[in-house]
Amino acid sequence: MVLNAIGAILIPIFSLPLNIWAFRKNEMLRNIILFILTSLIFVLVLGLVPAIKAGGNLSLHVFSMLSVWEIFIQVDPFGLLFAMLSSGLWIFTVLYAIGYMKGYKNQSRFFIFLILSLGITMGVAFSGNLFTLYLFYEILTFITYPLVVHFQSKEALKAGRKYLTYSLSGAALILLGLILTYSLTGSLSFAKGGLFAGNIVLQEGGWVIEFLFTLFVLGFGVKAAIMPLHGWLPSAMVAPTPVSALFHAVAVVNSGLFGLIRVLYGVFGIELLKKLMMGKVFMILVLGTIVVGSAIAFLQENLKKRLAYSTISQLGYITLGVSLLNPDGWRGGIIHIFNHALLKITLFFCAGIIYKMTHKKKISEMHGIGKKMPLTMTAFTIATLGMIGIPPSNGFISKWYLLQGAFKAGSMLTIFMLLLSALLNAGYFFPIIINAFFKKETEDLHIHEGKLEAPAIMLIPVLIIAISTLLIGIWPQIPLWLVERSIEMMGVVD
Amino acid sequence: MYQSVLPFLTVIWPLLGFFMILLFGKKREEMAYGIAILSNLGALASLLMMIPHLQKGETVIYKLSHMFPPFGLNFEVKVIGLFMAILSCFLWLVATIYSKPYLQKKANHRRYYAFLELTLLGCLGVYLTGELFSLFIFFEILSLASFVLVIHNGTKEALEAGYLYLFMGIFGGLSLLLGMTIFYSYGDSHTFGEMLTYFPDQPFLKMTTALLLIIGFGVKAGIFPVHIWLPQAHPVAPSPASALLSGVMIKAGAYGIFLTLQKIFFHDYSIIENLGYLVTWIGMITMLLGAVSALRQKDVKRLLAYSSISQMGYIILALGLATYLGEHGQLGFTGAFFHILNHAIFKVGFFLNIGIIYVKTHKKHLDHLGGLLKEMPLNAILFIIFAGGIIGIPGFNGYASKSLIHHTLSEAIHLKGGVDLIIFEKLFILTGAFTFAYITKLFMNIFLGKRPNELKVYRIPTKLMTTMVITLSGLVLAIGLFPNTVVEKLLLPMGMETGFDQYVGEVFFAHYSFWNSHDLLGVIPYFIIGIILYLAESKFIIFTKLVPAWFGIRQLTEGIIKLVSRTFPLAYCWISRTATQSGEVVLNFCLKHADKLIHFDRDPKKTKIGPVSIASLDFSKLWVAIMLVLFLMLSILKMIEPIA
Repeated sequence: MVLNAIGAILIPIFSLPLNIWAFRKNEMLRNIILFILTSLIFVLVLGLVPAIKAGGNLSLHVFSMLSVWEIFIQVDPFGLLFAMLSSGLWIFTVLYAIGYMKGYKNQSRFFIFLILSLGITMGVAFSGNLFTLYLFYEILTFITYPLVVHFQSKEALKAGRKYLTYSLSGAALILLGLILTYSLTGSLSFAKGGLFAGNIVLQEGGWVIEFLFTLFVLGFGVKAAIMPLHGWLPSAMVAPTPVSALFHAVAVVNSGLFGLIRVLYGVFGIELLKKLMMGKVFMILVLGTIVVGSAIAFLQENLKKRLAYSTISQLGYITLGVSLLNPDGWRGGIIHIFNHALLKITLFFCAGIIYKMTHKKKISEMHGIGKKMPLTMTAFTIATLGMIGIPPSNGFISKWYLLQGAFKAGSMLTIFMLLLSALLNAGYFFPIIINAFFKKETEDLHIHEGKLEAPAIMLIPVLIIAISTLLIGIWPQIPLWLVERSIEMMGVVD
Repeated sequence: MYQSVLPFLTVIWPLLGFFMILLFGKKREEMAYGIAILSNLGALASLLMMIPHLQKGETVIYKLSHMFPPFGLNFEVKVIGLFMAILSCFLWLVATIYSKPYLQKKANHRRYYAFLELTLLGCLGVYLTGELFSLFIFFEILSLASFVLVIHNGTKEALEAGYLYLFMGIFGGLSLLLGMTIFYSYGDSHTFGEMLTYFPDQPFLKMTTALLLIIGFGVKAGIFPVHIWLPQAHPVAPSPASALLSGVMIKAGAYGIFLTLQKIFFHDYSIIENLGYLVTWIGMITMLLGAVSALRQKDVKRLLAYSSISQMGYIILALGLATYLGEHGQLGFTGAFFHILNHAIFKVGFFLNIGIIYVKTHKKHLDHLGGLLKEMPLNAILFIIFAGGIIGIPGFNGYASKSLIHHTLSEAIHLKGGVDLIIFEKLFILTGAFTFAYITKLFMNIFLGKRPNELKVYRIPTKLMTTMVITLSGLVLAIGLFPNTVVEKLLLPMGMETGFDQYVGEVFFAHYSFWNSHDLLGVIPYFIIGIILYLAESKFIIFTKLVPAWFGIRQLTEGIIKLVSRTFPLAYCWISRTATQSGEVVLNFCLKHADKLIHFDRDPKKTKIGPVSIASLDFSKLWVAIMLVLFLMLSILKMIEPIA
């Protein structure tokens, strides 16, 4: 079964020659290959579910040079959750991108790197030790760089450079942490209850551990867009919309969160984390991220920028849940990775459709757009409900667990911030919808006769995901099951 | 306990209607209208089918445990819930039937009917659930779906009111959610009566939770001080929707407050008395404030909206008194639910009646109306019937419930004493007088007085609309003439499922007739003081002049909201911008020097090296390069293995 995981990582990478040949040759062939490849990966990942259900732990040492530098592939519930989410959304992203990129230059390059990064993301999901995680995490930065700078405009290149600088600096911190961890424990593998938990001296905490914690949080925090480290994310908005969706919902920020959570429970362990001073600092940082992110989103005129700051704030929910250090908090945090991904990808796809069909970027220009694109804006509305956390949308489940976790942690400030953020979310999302549906159309929209809906290949993915957020909100059993198993595995208990 | 799919079916009907209208209602508005009425009838039928089971003393339950785990969607229908549901569903049907002629030329029937059904779903769901979590879900649906009704007209005014409504609704939802969070953090006991089982014995925490729930529900109920959205939002909707908002949906909030007080916290002696006293105060302030503000209004529908706030104050006051009196509160409970029934009927009637006038004249400002008695005598008569109800004239329905609430107040004075309660009684009479004054003002300005020159009465067929209003007026009279029957058949059985001492109610009603001289004469002060107040307002405009503009508290609150909402984002923005900028300064500094390090052989004429060098890479080769670098890295590591 572990071959499924290996396949999911390697097939996109080794199909590269085929892709290079085929993508340049024929557009139809390219589309078919794209669809088949992504679906194949998704099926492979789904094939892992029975094994996880049976309770097995799948792992494989691919090769090792030193005892340390080993590529170790492991499938566990948490990794599977991430892999399922990413590979599933990848299909929709690819379909949407086929529609969106029509008419743009350099499509072959775009899709080649899109497929490559799928394999790397699977690698992040299935990495079984710190070294493997670091390796794939680092490669992901490079592989996604061409996607950011796709338009090769001055602005895009600047954004790409910012992205590289931020990410590589973060990765350098992780590398430092890696070396430090190895020198302290002589191992880099994730252990249940934490790598440090077995060590009596390290278990007590102390400044070394505090320092290490800071290194890892800052390192992964770049991709997870914790507030002072978020600068690259809004500027990466110059990329084509499918890439923004990929960054915000499918792969990149999620890999940061995933790595962070992996390290927190696999290396530190919950018991140790409870003793750390920096944990409190981290939490305050995260609370700041949530509220400040929302507040800045309020002031953005550009729809994609507003969504970007909303992401920063929402990622704060996830890291907040984790920093609460109790099962409900973790439940809320981890399920929010899943929920936020579905919601944010819908929002970005809608923003992309609006841009593609009307070339509108500014929110103030979108009055009455709901009358011309009712389906798109309905999907947008549904996703918005989830962002605010209104039942029966799936965002409510995350908010529910987060509030429970915050209350059990006894943190009134957290509760207040969560509620404030929900209000702010409503504050910056609802005007878009209300203006879209209830205000008079702008001149250019009014002249246009008939509907302006996007072609089916772009619209259908959006609608499927939007409806699925509602369905998951009502029947969240599958993601919740994986989350429960993950938490069990991580050893988070009261 | 009786397992039945009926409660679930009840909420499925409107949901089905919602989707059907969206699918098929586009081409023909008759289709949307027909589907809306059908699904409404379906829901009403499934509600009525539950009556026999409840008469046997059973509770109808239905659990959908696979939805919303771990709690599930739990329906549990008892007499009170069913009463509220049938009342809502019936009035909904009336308003839906009324809608078609009213909406005649206005656009987007499909959206209107669809969201009317979705709101009905939320409204019914609230009454049919037996657990806070399920209730909350329906409550949120109610909140959001009704928002679309509020801003249906899409005018600037409607949008502004809609925003306020939406944010107050979300605020209420969050308050409710927080209260629920506290409950569910302490164990999973679900039904209302058992919610305190695992709750820690901390009065402060209990009080906080109770207040969170009351504020959460209170936003919908329009209690002071979270009523600010109501006078804005109710008038801007189309008249049938205003009727439902003001007459029916508002009761969902009152029902929630009832649940909080008399189902969840009732047997907790440490806080319940204080809680009841607090709610009594809230109710008192709400009813007086609403009535005074109503007298100052010039817009017909806004006046009626303020009147709704005032009448909700009566209900909240009665609920608060019932809780304050503890087990002796049976009378307060009966009065509250009697008034819920009465207010729902006459307020829907008022709005629908005003709607007919609006359709015929296109005016809803009091200055633009007047002298319509000759043109619309039937509407004037109907108006008087509803007015009788709202003022509480003997023979009309409001009389009975107001008398009961008045009796509760007297009983509270008798049992608890205290100057405050005696003052409350005086204020109660004063509020009644204000009610008389504002209704008189409405009547005088619409039907009597000089008819403005520009006022035209269009000939529009309103037979169907009038029939609906006549039905309601018939109900007002029927209940008004036979209040004892309603109490015996309906309200006393409803009281059975509360924690009150039933004996109190039985003893009271055994020798009580609504037609006693004390109660009958008690109406006279309403008239006398009311006429004085009316004259004071109409001749000297005392209330509009004397009471400062911020009295409605709305302006004050809006000011605070504006201040907060403008200052905070700016402050945050400033902080974060400074942080980001300083970060970027450092970053640029590093980049600049990194450039120097890498490009040591660069052309001195070029002051800055752009990022072109990275971008000009051939990306198909980048992959190979990365692989090479990795391979190199790994082999170097392999080489140093012996040293390690």
